[in-house]
Amino acid sequence: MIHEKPSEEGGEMETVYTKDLGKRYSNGVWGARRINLLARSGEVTVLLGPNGAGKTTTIKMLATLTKPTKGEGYVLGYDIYREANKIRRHIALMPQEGSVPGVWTPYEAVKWYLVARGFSIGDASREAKRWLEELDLWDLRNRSAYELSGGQRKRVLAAMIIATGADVMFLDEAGTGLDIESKYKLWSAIRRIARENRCVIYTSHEMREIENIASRIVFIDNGETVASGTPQELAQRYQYRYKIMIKGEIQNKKELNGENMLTTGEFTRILLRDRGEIREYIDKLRDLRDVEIREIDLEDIYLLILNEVRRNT
Amino acid sequence: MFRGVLGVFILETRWFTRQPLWIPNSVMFSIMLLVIFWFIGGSRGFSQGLVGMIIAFFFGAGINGVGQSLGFERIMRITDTYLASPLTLTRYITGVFVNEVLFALLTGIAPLAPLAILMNQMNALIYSIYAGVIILFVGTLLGILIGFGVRRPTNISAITNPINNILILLPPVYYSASYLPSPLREISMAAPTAAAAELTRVLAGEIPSLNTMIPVASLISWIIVSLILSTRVIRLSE
Repeated sequence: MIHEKPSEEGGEMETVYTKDLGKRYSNGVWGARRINLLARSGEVTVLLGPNGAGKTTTIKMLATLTKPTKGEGYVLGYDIYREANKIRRHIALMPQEGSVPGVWTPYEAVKWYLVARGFSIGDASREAKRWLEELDLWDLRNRSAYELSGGQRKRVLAAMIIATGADVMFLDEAGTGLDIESKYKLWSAIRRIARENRCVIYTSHEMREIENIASRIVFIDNGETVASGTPQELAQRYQYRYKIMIKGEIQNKKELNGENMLTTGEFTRILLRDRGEIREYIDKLRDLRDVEIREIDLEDIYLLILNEVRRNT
Repeated sequence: MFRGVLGVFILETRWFTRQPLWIPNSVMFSIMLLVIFWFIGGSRGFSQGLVGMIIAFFFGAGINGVGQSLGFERIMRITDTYLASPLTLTRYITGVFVNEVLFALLTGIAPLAPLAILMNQMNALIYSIYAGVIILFVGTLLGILIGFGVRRPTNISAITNPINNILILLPPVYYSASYLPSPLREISMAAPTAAAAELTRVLAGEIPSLNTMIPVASLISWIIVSLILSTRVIRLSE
């Protein structure tokens, strides 16, 4: 029987739950230090963070591919330390950098992978057709993967995993390397499986992707969860509504208030609360040419959180 | 259980069904090599070569076939998709193993059997297959040990190939142990392939080159040690 860890947030059930989960590899490096996350069925939970933050290590621990060193973790109420075999009956994993062998065709890859997981041949054939059509691969179904592009191969792997209909699906950077049309198809497939009451845990760096699919975001930096919540909850953490984007060098940087100013590469963004502040800053920046005013988005929230964390540490 | 093995097996067979030229290539190689043994050594050369080739086929199917399949699928991360699923590691390995046996039967035993019958070498053929099954078991366990035990999967074929070549070419596998001087004869039985070949030759009617208990003890030791080590690696991987 599937049982779920009772929520600490007032009654709702968490399908995946971790508390201070950490993994130290045999070379002494911590892949993850303190991961706290809640993920629910019917939602897409996105793990977001810079390269090497610990997202993939977290996925590997939850998918029972590596044993944690510390902390607690439950998937569908099963303990990831002691009940790996029970967890594996309910999960599917699309690994980062995974690919299908060149000698497989998309149709047989999906169909026989499902049979290997215990589907009957009839059910496997039906689900293979459904998800290959959904991900726009049906016309390529009988081609060897050798003849497919890298993005198409990645979509085949995504179809293999999504077609399982597993209760919990881990998709590690599933959208990386896909063209924009393929990405939209993948996002729509992911949203659909989540609506079918599956719990999807997805890792990504791409803000547009996250804005499109995330029901809940978990920010990870340096192996630790630094913030989490729905996109709306995260946006409400800060009072900012607008930003001024400036390209190039700013001469009078010192005159500007540094608290709300974030620099990434040659871009500087100044985050502002209201239109009054915009007028005030435009006046200060009138000598600059490449200036744009926009509403803030998830990328700004992400940079604010990272900035805050790094300032505190 | 059956579906798990079947799904993996069908996907594994794609390695040769999608590249079918491997089959005639391997068949031709088997036949030509045996004909060379016959030209050089007549009926005795044929018999020596037949035993050696069957032992080498089965051992290679285990250590190279299973080891390298596991290694390649670790590189492609297909192994991760199998592990994070209801499919157990044992079923996965069984699927890989059955495919390797099928390939060895198709390209090794099938073309050699008619030649063995033609040359009146049925005993050598039958006992080679018996010993081949034992050596396949040892080879598979070593393949699992290397396939899952080596940290970097890109190194796996660089490990399995030399081990396979050394164990089938150097010790008395394609030739009788009686060609070696006495201390080397006993030492060579440390190789499981040589022990299996020696037992096959004795069962097929040749005069033993040494005390038969030595190859028996060697094979039993290999089975026990490789079973313990590969089970340990499987447990760690699970």
